[in-house]
Amino acid sequence: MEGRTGDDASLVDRLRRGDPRAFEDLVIAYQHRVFGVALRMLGNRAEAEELAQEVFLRVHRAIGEFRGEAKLSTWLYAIASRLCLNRLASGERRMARHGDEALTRLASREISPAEEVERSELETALHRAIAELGEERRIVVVLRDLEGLSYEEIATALELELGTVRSRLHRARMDLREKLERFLP
Amino acid sequence: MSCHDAREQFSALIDDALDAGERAALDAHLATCADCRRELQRFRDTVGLVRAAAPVRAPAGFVDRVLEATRPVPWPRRLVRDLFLPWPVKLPMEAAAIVLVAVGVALVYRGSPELEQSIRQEPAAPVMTQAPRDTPPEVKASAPARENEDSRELYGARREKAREQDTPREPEKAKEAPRAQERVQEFAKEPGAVSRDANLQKAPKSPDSQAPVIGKLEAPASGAERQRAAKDNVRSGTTQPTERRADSLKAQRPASAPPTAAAPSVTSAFVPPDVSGQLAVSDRELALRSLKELAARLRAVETRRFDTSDGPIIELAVPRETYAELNSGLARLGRWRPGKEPSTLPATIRVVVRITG
Repeated sequence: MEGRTGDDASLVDRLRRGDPRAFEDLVIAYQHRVFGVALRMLGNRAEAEELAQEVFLRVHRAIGEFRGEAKLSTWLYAIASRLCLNRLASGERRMARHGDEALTRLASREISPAEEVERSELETALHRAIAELGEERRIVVVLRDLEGLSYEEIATALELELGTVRSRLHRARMDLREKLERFLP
Repeated sequence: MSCHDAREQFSALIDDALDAGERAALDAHLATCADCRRELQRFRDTVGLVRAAAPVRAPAGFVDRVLEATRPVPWPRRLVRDLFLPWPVKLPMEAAAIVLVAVGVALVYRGSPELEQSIRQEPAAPVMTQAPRDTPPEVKASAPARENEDSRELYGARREKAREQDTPREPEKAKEAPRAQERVQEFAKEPGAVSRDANLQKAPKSPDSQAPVIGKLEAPASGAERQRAAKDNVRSGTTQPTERRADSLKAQRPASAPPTAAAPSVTSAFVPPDVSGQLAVSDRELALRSLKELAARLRAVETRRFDTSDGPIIELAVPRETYAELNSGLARLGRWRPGKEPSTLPATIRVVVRITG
């Protein structure tokens, strides 16, 4: 985390100086994380890519407004989360609810065929379980357990109280524990 | 601490988010509760499963697409994009515009033949009606006739129409009057009559260069007109330049359509008479003399006289006041069969009397 923060600081400096390569570096550094949040939240690759692009376009337009009070990553997660929640709240994406198939294709690690079958089943169940969470709980568990943000960062990104983040996260994990019962040792 | 309270803190425990007091209390409960210890393990495993989920990677080319999207769009492309997006709104509008343009073009193309025709007619029409009239009789040479020869031939039929339309025009009539007088005087000097038929055959063979022009001119004209022209030639004889005849003919033709719808038998008049009729007599010479006396008494003026093989044709200008008397006088000379009279008689009535018998 420390190293990344240092990278972010220099990246932010370069962005503010108008270094033409800086934005490209930013996209390269954060593309997977931003796309990951979008895909976990929306469940559809095409929609997730569209939203991730929108996140970076907003960053590109608003980089001058970035104060540096929060981490660059937190700022990006904040934008991505807000866009996802807004889109989920709007009626325009009701048709894109069939994200399960897309989610099963997410695995790309090199694994043995036997592992792959097992993994595929687990992945499917896992992503379905996440997808079935309520949106407010889902974003918290995505940011915490999939993206590794701290409670404070999540509270900043989602503009929530720490207690709210903690309780939502706990509820989300309890839901997942029930749904994933059969995969537990 | 109850089991429920303990399990509520599992999430924070895993994330190391408990303060020292909370942590001590939870540890104390877990030490004494096997169920909660087992439950904590399952909870930890669940979070482990989630955290072990395969990482998501952005699709290939994502960075390039983002960078492409952030590049300033050149204005022509921006214009195109603005024109065509958002398509749900613009597409129907553009389709409508295309249809509108197509319809407009179709209408213009459909209208163009008429437009073309009207443009073609414009210069021809005035040439036909004006050129001969505007040329002074003395200067009436072959040039104008030749110039317009082709167009006349082309628009012969249309010229007929134009003539009919021109008839009611008063200024033309006014012009006609002195010209008619002039022509009558010319006739007076002319030598004796020649056979009409013979002349009809002779006309095209005339050494005069204008003769063919006349032939052409008359080609589209009606039979009656041709007869009239032929008779004209008869009167003019050899001493009169043929083109002059033609020009006079043309000059008078615009006004030639009889407003009285006179019978076609009125072949002698270039200017249509108001009344025309046939006077059948037993003695032509006597009838001519009597008619002359009658005319003198009634203040009628003989304006023209044509001698044909069928008999003389005399045109008289009769004052309206003595017109009735003329009619009764003619009836006394022989069998007078006047044609239709105009509904309103002019101050001076032109009466054509064809003496037969």
